[in-house]
Amino acid sequence: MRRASFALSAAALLLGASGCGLAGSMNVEPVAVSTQKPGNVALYVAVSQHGAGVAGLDKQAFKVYENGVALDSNQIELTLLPTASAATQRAAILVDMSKTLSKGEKEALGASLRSFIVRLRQREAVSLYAFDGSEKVHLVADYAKDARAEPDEKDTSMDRLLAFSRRDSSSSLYTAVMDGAQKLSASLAAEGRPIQSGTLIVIALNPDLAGRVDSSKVRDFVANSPHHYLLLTVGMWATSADVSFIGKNGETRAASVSTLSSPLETVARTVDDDYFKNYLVSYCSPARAGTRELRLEITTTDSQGKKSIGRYDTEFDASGFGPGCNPLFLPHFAVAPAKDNGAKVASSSPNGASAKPAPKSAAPATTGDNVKISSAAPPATKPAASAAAPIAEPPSGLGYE
Amino acid sequence: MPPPAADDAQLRLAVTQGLPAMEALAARYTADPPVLLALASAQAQAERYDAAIATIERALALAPSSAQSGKIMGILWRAAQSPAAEESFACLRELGSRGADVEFDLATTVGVRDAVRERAKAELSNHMALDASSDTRAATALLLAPDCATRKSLLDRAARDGGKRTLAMLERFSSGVGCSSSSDGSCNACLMGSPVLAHAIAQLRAGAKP
Repeated sequence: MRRASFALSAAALLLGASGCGLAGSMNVEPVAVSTQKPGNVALYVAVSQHGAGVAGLDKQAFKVYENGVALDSNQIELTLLPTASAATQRAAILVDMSKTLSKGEKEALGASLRSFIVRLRQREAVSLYAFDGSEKVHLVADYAKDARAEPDEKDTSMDRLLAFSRRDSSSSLYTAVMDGAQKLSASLAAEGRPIQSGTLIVIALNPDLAGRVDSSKVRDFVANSPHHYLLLTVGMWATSADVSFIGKNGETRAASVSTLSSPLETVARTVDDDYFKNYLVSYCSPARAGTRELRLEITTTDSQGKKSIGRYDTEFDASGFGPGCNPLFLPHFAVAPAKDNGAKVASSSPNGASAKPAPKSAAPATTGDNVKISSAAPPATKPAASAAAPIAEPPSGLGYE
Repeated sequence: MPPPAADDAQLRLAVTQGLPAMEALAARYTADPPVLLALASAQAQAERYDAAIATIERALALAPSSAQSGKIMGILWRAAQSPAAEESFACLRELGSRGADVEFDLATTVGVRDAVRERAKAELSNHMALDASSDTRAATALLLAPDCATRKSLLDRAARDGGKRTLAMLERFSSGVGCSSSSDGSCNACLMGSPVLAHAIAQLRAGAKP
C-alpha cells in the first residue's frame, strides 16, 4: 500500500476512477492520476501478478484506449517516466537492541545490516533506528538514496548502533513499531511529494515485554497504516508469540543473530519487488473536448507464450485540451486528503471551480479478480505535539539562529 | 576519495536545493561539521527534529566547539517544543553552558507551552551545566527561588554576576511579575519599590553582559 492522492490539475477534470484487471491475473493498482493542459495525461500505477510485483515492463507493454479506441502509442507519445520524479520512497529499519549481544553476534549483526542497508539505499533513502524498552525509537542514522552506494569503511553508523546504550532494559516492540511508523510518515511528508511509499522493516529479537499498548491496538494501527510492514524475527520465541500481524506485507525468521544474512536477503527482495512494480505512464491525449473514458491496458507474455492482461479504467474531462503537449512534462499530482484507506478523488477545475463528484464509484472496491480500485491512504500523521502546539520563537539578541 | 570537507559552493547549493540534497552531501562528507549543521537545520525545518538532534550529536562528537553555535541553539530550542522534546533536553545537557542558556530561555519566554517551561525548569534544577555562565546561574537562582525573601537575598549576586538574562528577570520583578512559585501568592511584594532591586537593574543596564 502507499499513500497516494488523486487529483486533477490544470486543464482537465478527472471525473471518476474505477479499475479492473480482469484478463489473466494481472493486477493494475492505480496510485495517482493527473491530467494537465495542454493535453498531458499521466497515470502512476502498480502492477502485480499472483501477489508479486511485475518488474521490467517497457512501454510496449502499455496500451491506451480513449472512448474504446486503441490509440497509437507513437502518435500519443506514450512514455514511461522515472517514478522517482513523482514519488518519495523511504525505508525505516527498526533494530531491536533490547537483548545483550555477544561480540560475535554484534559483528554478525553489523555485517548483515551493513550490506542490507547498502542494497536498500540504492533504491530509496533509509533511516536506521534502534529500540529497547523505551517508548520511542532512537535514530541511529539517515542514509540518502544513492544508486551507486557501496560499503563505506568510514561509515560509523553501524558502530553507533552496536554501541547503543539501553535506556530501558525491557523490550517495547509495539511502541517502537508505532513510533517508527510515525517517524517514517514525518520523513516522507518532509519531502513534500504527493505520492509517498514507506516501508517499515522491523528486526525483533524479543516479543513486546513492556506492555505499554495492547496488541489489538498495534494490530489496528498496522492494518490501517499506509506503509508496508516487513517483519524479521530472530530466535525461537517467535514461534510462540503472535507478532506476525506486524509483518503485514511479509514476515521471515532467523534462528539467531548470526544467521541474519539470508532472511535479510529475502526482505531486500521484497522491497525491490515493491519498488520495481511501479510505473509512471505519460502520454499526450488527442482529445480536445468533452469527457473521455480512459483505459490503460498492460499486457505481458511469459516464457511459454501465455499472455496476461491487466486493465485500469477511468474518465477525464478534456475541456481546454489542445496541441503542444510534451509527454516528458512532470505530472502534477496534487495532494488531496483521503479518508480511511479508501480512495479519494480530489478534483479541481483549472479556474478553481468546485470539484465534481466522481460519476463512478471511487470507493475502494475489489473486482471479482481481486483488483483494488485504489490504494489511496490517509495523509501522513504529523506528530501530535507539533500539529497541535505552535512552536514559540526564541528570544532575540541572545545568540539564536 | 572525496576531500574531507565540502567547499562553500557545494554547501550553498545543497542548502538551496533542500533536505534531500543536504542528506546526499552529508552522506558524502560524513565528518564535516558545517555540513552536518546545515543538514540539522534542514531536518529541523522539515520538522524532523529527532533526525536533526541525531545530526547535532554527530557534529558535537566531531567538533565540540560546535556547542557554541547559535544554529544548534535554535534547533534545540524548537525541538524542545516538539515531540522530540526529551531527545532535545538530553542533547541540551551535552551542550554545556549554551544548553543551560536555552533551558533558561525556554523556562522564561512567553509563548512557550507550560509543560515545556516546567520541563526546562526541572532540567535547570537538576542538571545545571557545570560551565553555565554566571548570568544564567544568577538568573536561574532567581527563577527557582521559592519565595520573595529568597529572591531579595539574591539581588546582590544578580547585580554582580548577572547579564541580559538576569536583567530580564529583575525587570519582570520590578513590574510585579516573574513569580516562580505558585504557592507564593504575594510573590514579589517584598521587591516593590526596593532600592536594591532598582540598583541591580541600573547596574545591569549599564553593562549588560551578553
